[in-house]
Amino acid sequence: MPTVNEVMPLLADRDEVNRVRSVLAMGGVPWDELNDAMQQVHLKLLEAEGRPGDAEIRNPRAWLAAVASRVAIDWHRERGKTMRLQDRLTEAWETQAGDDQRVGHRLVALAVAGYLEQLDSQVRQVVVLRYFVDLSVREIAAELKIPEGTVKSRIHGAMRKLRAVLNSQEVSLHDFEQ
Amino acid sequence: MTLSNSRDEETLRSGLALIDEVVRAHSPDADADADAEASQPSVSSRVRLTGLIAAAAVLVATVTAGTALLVRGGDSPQQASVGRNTFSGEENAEGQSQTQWVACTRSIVEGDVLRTEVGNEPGHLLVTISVTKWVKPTTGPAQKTFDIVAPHPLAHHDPLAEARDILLMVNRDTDRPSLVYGLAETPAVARHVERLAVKVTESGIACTSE
Repeated sequence: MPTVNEVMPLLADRDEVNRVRSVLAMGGVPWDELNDAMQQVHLKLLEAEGRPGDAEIRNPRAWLAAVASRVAIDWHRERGKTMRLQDRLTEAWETQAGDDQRVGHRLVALAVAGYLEQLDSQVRQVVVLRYFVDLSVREIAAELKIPEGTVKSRIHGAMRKLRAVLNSQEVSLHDFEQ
Repeated sequence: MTLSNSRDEETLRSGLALIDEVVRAHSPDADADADAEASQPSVSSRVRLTGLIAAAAVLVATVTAGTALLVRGGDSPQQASVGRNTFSGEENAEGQSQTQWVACTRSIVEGDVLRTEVGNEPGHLLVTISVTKWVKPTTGPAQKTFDIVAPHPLAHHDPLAEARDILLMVNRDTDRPSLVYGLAETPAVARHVERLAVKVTESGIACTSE
């Protein structure tokens, strides 16, 4: 069974660390605090090291992503502030040109960012783990220690809300595809 | 317009992927890739190790600019404040496990790396530190060589390669990697570990996980 020792090497993997940073950002950690949030992820590893009896990790990548998603929720709870994801995206793209398809995709991303910000933090956590990290319902339930039915119910509610958001903004990925 | 569930999911995945792309463009890597060729870090004080060469070769290219970005963030008053608030929960269950982790750590020191050599056992390093602060135990020689299992390098900086201002935590288990952090890059972790070490020492907390 994997242990925390098998998670540490993931933090040497730039791609993996960037993915963790994205989970933190999508979870609502302001981008200028991502480095601090990454330190918090490190401390979570230390905590797990201090609990060798229950440091049972089935899937190190899933475990790391779930830890990051929890850090993001705590960040929200403790600070009660959010640097709007939409604002950061707009800022990043305001000087970049793009063809219609590229601009269309950016509109989709802005809509998704706005949608994430409307979600309850626990629902947002599940959405990020399911649709960004690509964990299965079972993996999410195992990592978050909640019933699979709860994960399904959160996803169901999240998708209903997504449909409403996309419809209200008349945004669809397929509108911009050839 | 009503979209099918799979289309909604595809749209969601696509949006998240694009957000990821933007976050990555603002990661320490982004600057590192641009600046690496111009500013490779000095490693004259460090003996290159065969066991670490592969990892270091990848990391060295990313160290300098990545570190610069991290340092800028880590030194800001805002971040220092965040660190204090975030890492102060020693009394809860998680804090207790952190305390236990520190209690089970053989040595914790701050200082500069004078020399690293291949150890006698596979995967081991002999790291000689000019110690600026003994955290655990609280006293010791000004210079000390530790026989450790090579720490896992970190993606955005390699404190051992940079050789200065590190926090080294030597694992009690001789077959498990030690941890090393750069004090400039991860000040909150260092401060937190020091507080825990003081608590462990003053309260006489023993390692119970052996």
